[in-house]
Amino acid sequence: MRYLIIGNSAAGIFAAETIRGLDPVGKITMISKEDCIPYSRCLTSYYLGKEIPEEGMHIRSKDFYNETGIDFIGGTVERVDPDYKYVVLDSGKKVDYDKLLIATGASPFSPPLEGSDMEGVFQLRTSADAKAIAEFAPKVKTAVVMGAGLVGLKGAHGLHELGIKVIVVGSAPYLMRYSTDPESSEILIRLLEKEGYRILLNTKAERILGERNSEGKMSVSGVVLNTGEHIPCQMVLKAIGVRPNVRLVEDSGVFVNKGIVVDDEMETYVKDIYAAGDVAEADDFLNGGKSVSALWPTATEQGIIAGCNMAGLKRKYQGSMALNSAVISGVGLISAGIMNLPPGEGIVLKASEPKNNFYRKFVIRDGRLIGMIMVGKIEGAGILSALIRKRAKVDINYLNYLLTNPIKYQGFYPVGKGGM
Amino acid sequence: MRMRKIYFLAERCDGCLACEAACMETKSLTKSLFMAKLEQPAPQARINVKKTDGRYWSSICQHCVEAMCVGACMTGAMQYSETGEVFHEVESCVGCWMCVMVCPFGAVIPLENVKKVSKCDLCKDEKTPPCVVACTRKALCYCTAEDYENEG
Repeated sequence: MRYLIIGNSAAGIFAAETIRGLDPVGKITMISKEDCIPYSRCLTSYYLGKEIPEEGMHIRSKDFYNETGIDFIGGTVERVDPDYKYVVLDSGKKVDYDKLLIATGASPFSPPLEGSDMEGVFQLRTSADAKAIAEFAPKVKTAVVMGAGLVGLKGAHGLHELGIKVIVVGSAPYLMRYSTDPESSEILIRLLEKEGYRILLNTKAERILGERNSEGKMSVSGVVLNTGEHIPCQMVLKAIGVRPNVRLVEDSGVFVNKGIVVDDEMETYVKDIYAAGDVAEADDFLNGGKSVSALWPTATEQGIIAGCNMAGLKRKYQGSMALNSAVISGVGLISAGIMNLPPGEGIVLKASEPKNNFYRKFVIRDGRLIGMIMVGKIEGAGILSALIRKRAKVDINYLNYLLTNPIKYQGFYPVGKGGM
Repeated sequence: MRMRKIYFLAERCDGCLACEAACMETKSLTKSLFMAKLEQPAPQARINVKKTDGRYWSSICQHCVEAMCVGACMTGAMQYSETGEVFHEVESCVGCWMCVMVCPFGAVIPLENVKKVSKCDLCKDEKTPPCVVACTRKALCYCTAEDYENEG
C-alpha cells in the first residue's frame, strides 16, 4: 500500500504515525512545502517572544522521517488526479498513491487593506513568519495587531515580551469571540491593560500609512482606524483569521465548501482521498452539520482517525467542538463547546470574581453540559470538556457546586468493578 | 499490553489519603513530608482522592492507550514511551494547559507559578510506586491490565 500525506503539521504527523503503527511495511510519503523538522505553529509566538529557542518549536526529532520510515519530499502540490491516483508537484514531479491524505492546513486570510504591501506588515503562521517578525522587531517601538482572536493575542504577547508597545485592534465587541463571552473578556482586557497593552474593540483598521525609509522602501508609519484615530506605529501584524488551503484540489472533483468536506471516516467525497486538520470541513459535534475547526487537538484527532481508516481500521470521527486554552498575563483561560446561547435558550450558570481573576460559566441544554468557560483555577477543566464530549446527563446542583469548588475526578462514568 | 500502571479498587478505599501524602513526599525537593509542606512552590500530589456519594474515587493518570493529552499537547512534551506509558517531558512544556483542558480524569495538574504541568510518572526509579506501598488497604495496585482483571 502506498500512502501519501500532503502536509507535515499536526494532522499529517499524527496520521503518519498512526498509519505506521497499523501498517509496518506500507510505503508512506510525505510532501510539504516547509522543508524542515516538524514543528508546532502554536509555538511560533513563544519563539517570537524569546520564551523558547528555535528548537523548542519542534514537536518531533530531526530523525522523525527516518525513524518512522517516511519518504519526505519538499515541494508544493499543484494538482491532484483522482482517476489515475497521482499528484503533481510544482517541480513537475508526479507522485502516485493508493490512499491520499490532504492535511495542507490553512493560511492567514485578510481582506484587502490599503498599504498591506509595505515593509513592516506581517502575519504569524509559520516559523518563517516568526523569524521575519523577530528580525524586524528591533526597529519597532509600537506595533498594531489587527485581530483580537487567539492568534492576534498570542502574537501581541510575543511582541510585548520584546518590549514593544502593542495596540490590539479588534472588530468584535470582545476578545477572542469564539472562545469567551463578554464577562470573561472583561477580565482579560483588564489584565492586558494593566500590563501596558492598549485594546481597541468594535474598531477596524482602515488604512496603513507608510513613509520611505533610508533604503528608499515604503515602510509602515501608522494606521488609520475607522474611528478616525491615527496611531503611529512601525509594525502591523495581521491576525484576522485563516482560510483552508484547498487550491490543490480545484478541478479534481473533491467537494469543497468552506474546507474540504469529509464524512465521518475523514474521507472526502472522492474515494481514497482523505482530509484532516485545518483544511477539513468535518462533522460538528454540538451544532450538527459540518464545520471547519482550526485547532491543534482537533487536527491531531482527525489525523489519527484518517490514518486508521486509510490503513484499513474503520473508525468513526465523533465530530469537532470548540476547545481553547490561552494564558493571558499568567491567568489561564479554558473554554469548550458552545459558550454563548441565544437569550432564552438553555440554562447558564455563572460564578464571577473579577478581582481575583476568576470566572466560571457552564452552559446547559436539555440536562446536558454543552459549553463552559473557566478563567483562573483551571485545574480539572478536562473533566468538564469530557462531560460535554460524552453528552452526559449532569445534575444541575452538582454543576452549581462545581462553579465555585475545585473540580476533581469523581468517577462519573459508568465503568465496571467500581474502579476506573 | 504488558504495561503496568496504577489501578484503583474503589470498594477497598477508606479515604485515608496516605497515597497523596506518599506522592507529595516523593515528589518534594526535601523528600520529607514535614518539610514538603514548607517548600515553595508547595509540592502537589499527583494522585487525588475525593469522596462522592459515600465512596472514594481516585484521580490519577491512566496512561491511556490513545491519550487525549498527547493529542492536545502542542509542544510534544506529552509522549508515549516505548512500553506505552504516557510521560511528560518537563523541559518542553510551556504551560499552555491544553492537556489540562482535555484530560477526562483531571489527572494533569497545572502548576501555574512555574508554567509547567505535572502528572503521575509511575515513579519508574522505584520498584513499586510509593503511593501503592503506602496504601494499607490495597485499594491501589501496580499491575498489568490482566492482573487487575484477575484481582476480582
